[in-house]
Amino acid sequence: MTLVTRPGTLLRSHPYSESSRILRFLTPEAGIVAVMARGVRKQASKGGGPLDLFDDVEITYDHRAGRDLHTLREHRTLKRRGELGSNLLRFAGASFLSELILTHTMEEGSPRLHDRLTSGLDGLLACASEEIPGRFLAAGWGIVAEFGFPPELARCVRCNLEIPPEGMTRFDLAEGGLRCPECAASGVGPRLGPGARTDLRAILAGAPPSGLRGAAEHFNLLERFALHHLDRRRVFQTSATLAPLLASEGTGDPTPEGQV
Amino acid sequence: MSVIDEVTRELSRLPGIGPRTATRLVYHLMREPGERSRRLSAAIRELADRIHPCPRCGTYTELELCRICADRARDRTTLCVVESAFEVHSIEKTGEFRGLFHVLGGRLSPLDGIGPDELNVASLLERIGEPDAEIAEIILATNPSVEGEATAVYLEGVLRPLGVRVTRLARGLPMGSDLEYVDGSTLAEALSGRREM
Repeated sequence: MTLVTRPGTLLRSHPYSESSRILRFLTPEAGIVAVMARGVRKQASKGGGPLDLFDDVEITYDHRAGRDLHTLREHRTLKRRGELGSNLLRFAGASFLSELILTHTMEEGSPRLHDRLTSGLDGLLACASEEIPGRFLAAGWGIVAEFGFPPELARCVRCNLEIPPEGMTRFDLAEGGLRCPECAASGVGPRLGPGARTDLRAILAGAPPSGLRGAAEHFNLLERFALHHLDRRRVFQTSATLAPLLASEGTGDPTPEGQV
Repeated sequence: MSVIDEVTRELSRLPGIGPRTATRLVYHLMREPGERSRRLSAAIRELADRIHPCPRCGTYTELELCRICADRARDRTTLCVVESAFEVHSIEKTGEFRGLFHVLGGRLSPLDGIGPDELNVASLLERIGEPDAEIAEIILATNPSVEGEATAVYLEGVLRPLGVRVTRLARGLPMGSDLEYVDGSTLAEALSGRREM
């Protein structure tokens, strides 16, 4: 058993027994770290320091080789992100990013992935309300790309020809990118018009448009793509909260079913 | 499975009781006169058979209405919204609050698939909209965590248009904590220092 101290971002918190919690952090160096925080519910109420979702925390824990669950000894909050709760869409978007990371089993740490998460959360914290959908979509696509599944938007995934600026394309989930208008005729998957492709490229470049049109459809595309490549057996719990919020945001003109 | 194992297993499912404590409790019960175990068993059976959520506020009761909802001496102009029934008990212990309660039955938690539709929000709106309702102020006493805050902000959004005063427990309660464990004096201070939203 070794005492380990490392920074991490709290992704998930489950109550356990009377006053304890099981906490799951994303750490830059060790990936997901799960710890048992004994008595933490009482401690926090007595001023033992906050330990809240999405916070950056320095944790010290007893690391047991070969075990999945370690024992938290101390924690020190490095950065609070409690203001993510000030807006339901902001909160649901941050929750989606957490769930997205927890969906993928990681064998080792990735400082770049941790950066993607924290910059995504900070972007959600700082942005204006009309920018929220674009911000979490950009962070979400960035995380999926960091997992090794960057979508191909420049060339057709089937014929390798450059995607023309005009025409209706399809997003082929299995092949991981766009089909040109010609190949789209025989393909399946959500349809993407020229405007949606421009928006998606901007999202992937980390510069999503403010007041993104069709945010619910963009989310649906990200969700389907992520599940196809990360874990086809499950669904995102956060989608039940997030999808209706995006649909009611009215952030863009309605788009035909299945079309972004 | 033997009776001893079965009782041990059932007890160890309770919060705060691990297998060792459960075993100790079972051996303690076996040493006691049988009548004591039978009384305990009967009391637990009564709990399961007779306790139900109050149809008005959602806290637990064995009566048609809970004692708080039925008490005409309570202040019917103030309603305190909490996440769970246990928190009704915590706030009652402070002796600072004389109004009524409403139990949400949880808090917004997208990661657990808990959205607004999973909470007792519709029944809250019904209570406010009843012809004889006297509610003038609603205190949002959700936990001081990011999930509790999001729940409070959501409720404020649906309550504010109804023309009631919406307040939130004062800051000063540690973030990331659970209301269940806040000591009475801190909770009393938070109640008296509640703020407009």
